Amino acid sequence: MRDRAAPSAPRTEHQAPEAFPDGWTTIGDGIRYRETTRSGPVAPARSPVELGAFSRRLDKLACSAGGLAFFDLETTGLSGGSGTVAFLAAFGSLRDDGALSVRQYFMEDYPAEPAFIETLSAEFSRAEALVSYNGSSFDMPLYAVRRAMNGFGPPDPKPHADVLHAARRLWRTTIGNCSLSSIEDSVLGVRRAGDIPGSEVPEAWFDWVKRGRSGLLARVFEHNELDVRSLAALFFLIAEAARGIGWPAACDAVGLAGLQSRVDEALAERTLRQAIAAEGQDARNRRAARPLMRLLGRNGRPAERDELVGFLPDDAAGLFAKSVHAERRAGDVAEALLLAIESAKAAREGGTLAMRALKRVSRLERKLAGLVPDRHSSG
Amino acid sequence: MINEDSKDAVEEFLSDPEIAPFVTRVERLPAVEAIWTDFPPGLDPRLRQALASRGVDRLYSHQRACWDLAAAGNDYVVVTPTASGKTLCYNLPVAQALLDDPDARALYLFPTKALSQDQQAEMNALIEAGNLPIKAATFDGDTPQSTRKAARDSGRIIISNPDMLHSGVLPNHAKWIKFFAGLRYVVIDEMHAYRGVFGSHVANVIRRLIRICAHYGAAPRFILCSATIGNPGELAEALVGRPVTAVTQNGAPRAEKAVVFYNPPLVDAVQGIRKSSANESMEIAAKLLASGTRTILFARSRLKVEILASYLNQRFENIYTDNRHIRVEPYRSGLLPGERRLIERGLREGSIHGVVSTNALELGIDIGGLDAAVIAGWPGSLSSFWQQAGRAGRRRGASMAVYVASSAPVDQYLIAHPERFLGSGAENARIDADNPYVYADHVKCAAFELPFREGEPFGPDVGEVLAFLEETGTVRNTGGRWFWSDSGYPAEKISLRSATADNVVIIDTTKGRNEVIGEMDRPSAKELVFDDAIYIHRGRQYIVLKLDIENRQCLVEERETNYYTDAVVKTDIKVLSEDERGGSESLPFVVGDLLVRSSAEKFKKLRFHTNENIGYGEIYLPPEEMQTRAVAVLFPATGRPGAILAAMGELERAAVLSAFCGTVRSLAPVNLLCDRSDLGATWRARDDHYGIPAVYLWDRYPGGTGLTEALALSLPGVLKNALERVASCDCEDGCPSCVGVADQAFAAVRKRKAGAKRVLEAALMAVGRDGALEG
Repeated sequence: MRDRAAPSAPRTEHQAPEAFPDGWTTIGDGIRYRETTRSGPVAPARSPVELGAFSRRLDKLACSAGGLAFFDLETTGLSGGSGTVAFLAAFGSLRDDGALSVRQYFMEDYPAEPAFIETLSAEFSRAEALVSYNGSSFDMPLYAVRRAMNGFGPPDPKPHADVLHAARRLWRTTIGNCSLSSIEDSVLGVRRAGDIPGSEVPEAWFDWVKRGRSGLLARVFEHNELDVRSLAALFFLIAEAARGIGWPAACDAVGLAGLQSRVDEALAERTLRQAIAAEGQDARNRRAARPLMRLLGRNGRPAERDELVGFLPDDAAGLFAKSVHAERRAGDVAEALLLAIESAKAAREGGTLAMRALKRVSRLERKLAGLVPDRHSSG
Repeated sequence: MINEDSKDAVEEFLSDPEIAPFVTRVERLPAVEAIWTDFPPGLDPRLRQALASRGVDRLYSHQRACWDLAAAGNDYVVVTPTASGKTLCYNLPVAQALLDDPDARALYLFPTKALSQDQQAEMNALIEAGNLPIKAATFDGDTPQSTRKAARDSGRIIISNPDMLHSGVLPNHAKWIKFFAGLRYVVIDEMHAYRGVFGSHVANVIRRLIRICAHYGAAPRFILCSATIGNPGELAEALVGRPVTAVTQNGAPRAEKAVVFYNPPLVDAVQGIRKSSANESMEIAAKLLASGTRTILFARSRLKVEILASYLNQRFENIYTDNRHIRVEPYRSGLLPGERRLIERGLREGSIHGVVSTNALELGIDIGGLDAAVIAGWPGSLSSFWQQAGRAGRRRGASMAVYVASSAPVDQYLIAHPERFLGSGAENARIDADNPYVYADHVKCAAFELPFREGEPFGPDVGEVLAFLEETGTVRNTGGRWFWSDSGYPAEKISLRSATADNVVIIDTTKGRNEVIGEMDRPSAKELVFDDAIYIHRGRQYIVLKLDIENRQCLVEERETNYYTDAVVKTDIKVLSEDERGGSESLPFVVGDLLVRSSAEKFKKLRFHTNENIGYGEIYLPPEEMQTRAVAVLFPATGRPGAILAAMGELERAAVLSAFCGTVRSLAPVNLLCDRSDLGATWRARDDHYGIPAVYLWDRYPGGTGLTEALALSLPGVLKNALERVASCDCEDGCPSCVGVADQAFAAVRKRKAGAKRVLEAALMAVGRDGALEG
């Protein structure tokens, strides 16, 4: 059904603007600024950080912890598009004493956007590398669109670690929902009191621009600041775990090994071997053997790799590998045939694996009937 | 085969003793020679070479005319029958522009994704033939996320559809800067598809496109292509909002064609019932196919298409004849893209001999030329008729189109007045770019895309709409600009097409299979694939296990049955507003908003071939609701038409009102030049809202497209035609050609037709004898 224009709503009276939340100073036409530093060190600013664990594209990239900018934008909508604007930005960086300073910029109304972008631009260019939560898909593209809409060129390319990707590897199978607030709760043990839900953020700003009400803004400022603090905490937690220091709560070993393998394969191997030992006898949920076999194969250790076949899960691909192993290593054609049949049954009908398994079944059948000379084909 | 002796095949068909007695007219369109011109002097040698390698060494006159218009910087629309070399009318000037300027870009818009793919293949063939440094990229809903960036960045020609431009490209124009800044040409093919509300939306999308281009300093030219309609220039200008030159002289050759009017034999002369047009057209198609004539049969519904294709294939299964190699396929919406492709290719290459289709094959999908087209019943508009007839006919060899009339009043009227097909030319396509509802929707989208500057021109009334949007808080006026100030993404909520976007996927679960075999829009799904319905897909029968509307899926299982199912759809209405009164005191009418609710609560099981009713079943589904515009014609007892009704017995009054309503509804499309499916109608002996007898006619597009407003103006003409039809019909007491066959409920009523005639006379009198409205 068509969405008809509603009958004209009563015009809202533009009330006198309410007082702006404390702690902010005006730094330009329509731009406000505040800096918040909370006590307690997060990490030493001078210590070097490797970004490789966060993305293969950042392989071998290191910078000092103090050169990182943890950032987060608050916007008027989540769908993107040219009509969605960012009105609040937070940038966190480590001070020399290891405490995290968070600088926030607020845009008071639409016409201030060019000035707002210039302010953000200065922050971005100061940083050696950027850290965000889902920023590679949301915040950065949106920032690029805002620049384009205001006649600025594309943003300077900077190394950018999106912590969401790493978080998904660590917690997708154990926590499921990898939103920052969910990870904060389950991993960092942080509970926010009275946090504004993300869906209400746009209305808070509209309430300010359209009606001069600032009531909800203070909660958005707090939300934005805490997001950046949690982001920084999570970043260092993951960076250390990837180097073998600590074991984050509810962390999936296979996922962690995946991050570790980007910076230290020996460490990843250890983590995976422990995981195999912990998986036990249930052949359904075994996940550690496959990545370890790949790692060993990559490093030219085929014999050690083949020893792990027994630890593969009994899914179509696992059964197929076991069938190959039974034929070649154990010379047990009957067992190999049985496994190949199981594999064909488990595979998706009509898929490549199913076809390969069926071919293998018929070859093994002939071989078993003595029709095919023994040959070590890959089946 | 018909190819060489094709003329004989046509004559043979016409002299067939089973056919000849029922042919009421044969119109022969003579062959036309090609008009050639040389390549234009400025043509890039690479293009010249590309054309030469494809066997093209000169142009048809209309292709050259297009080139010259493009060279002079004009917008133009070219009217192109099937197989007239349409694509060169735009591909040549576009390719030239892209070769001249490495930054230049072009946008091609097609109404469907299937057409985009056809045209990309066509363009790529030209590009490859000349090894041209041009990349054409499709960008639509099917384009994977991973290749979208590449299409944006390196596609010199972007091939898309208006829906994608509306919801995907324009709202994200900042990611398309290079493209918009370089945009030189916008090609709008199959322009005639953009009529009615859909066309009104597209005109506004184009307003937005022009605005975004201007923002990046570009002013693209428009090239439009249309099938034959009455007013191509006017429609093109309405779509792009500025003068457009029409190229209507076609230089392509045309072979001879016969248009045959066929009125099926009467089976009941007393009641005026004729043999079913669906069965008769199937018989004709079977005859043609058996004689080696490649044939397309156009049927009116998806269900009919499947049933007729099955019948035809069954007929050709007989292994004792030579016909068993004849293959017939159904073609309709809801088939999977791969299946459509397969059928299209089969038709082009000749491995499929016949096809039964809905109007899905009207559009310019390339299936090559067939020998004959059989059209079962009036397709709703002259353009549709000629598009369907145009599916038969190639550059060489005679072809024919056979129009098979049904008993419906419109069909019988046209059989009696064939000059309406042949004399009056194609009808006009109408759009209303300033339709307030459509326009306001696109002002929202435009505000989202780019803040409006104070005084910026955009359509008829942008200031007023923005002021209204500011009141509702959707935009904010500050610093001399209007900014979008809402967390929503407006294009997402605005659909260009009347049909709802959410589709139900049909999943085959036979023997643990879990395969999508088709899809269907939600309202149709409720009437076609309800629980226990028989769903026929390319001749296979399935029974519906579960229609899960919430999860948009329908689970089916293969099952052979000897019956098919047909839902009994009930419609009820509710008046929402009375906006405008007209007519006269004795026959007032009211135009306003109406809520139309339709629900299917029962279905019939009908035996194949005999259509015998062998049982009923229940349907448990929520109704479909639509708000639209309607005109209510009222019959107060103080006026003469109402007095005539008031003097009747209750049953007679109902029977006469129903006859009046049916006749007016059948004949209104002739005056409004719309499709009969565009209008809904019902009658009330004592209306709930007005308390007196009433007849309602409504627009079947949600929100209305102005049809009811137009009907209110032309009501006298419609009444006049209806009266003429009833008065001149020599049936005894109503037949399908005039007031219709009486419902079972009215079987006892005598002189139904005479009663309807009296009411029509009085009604026409009340609105003024020669059509002018009385006081």
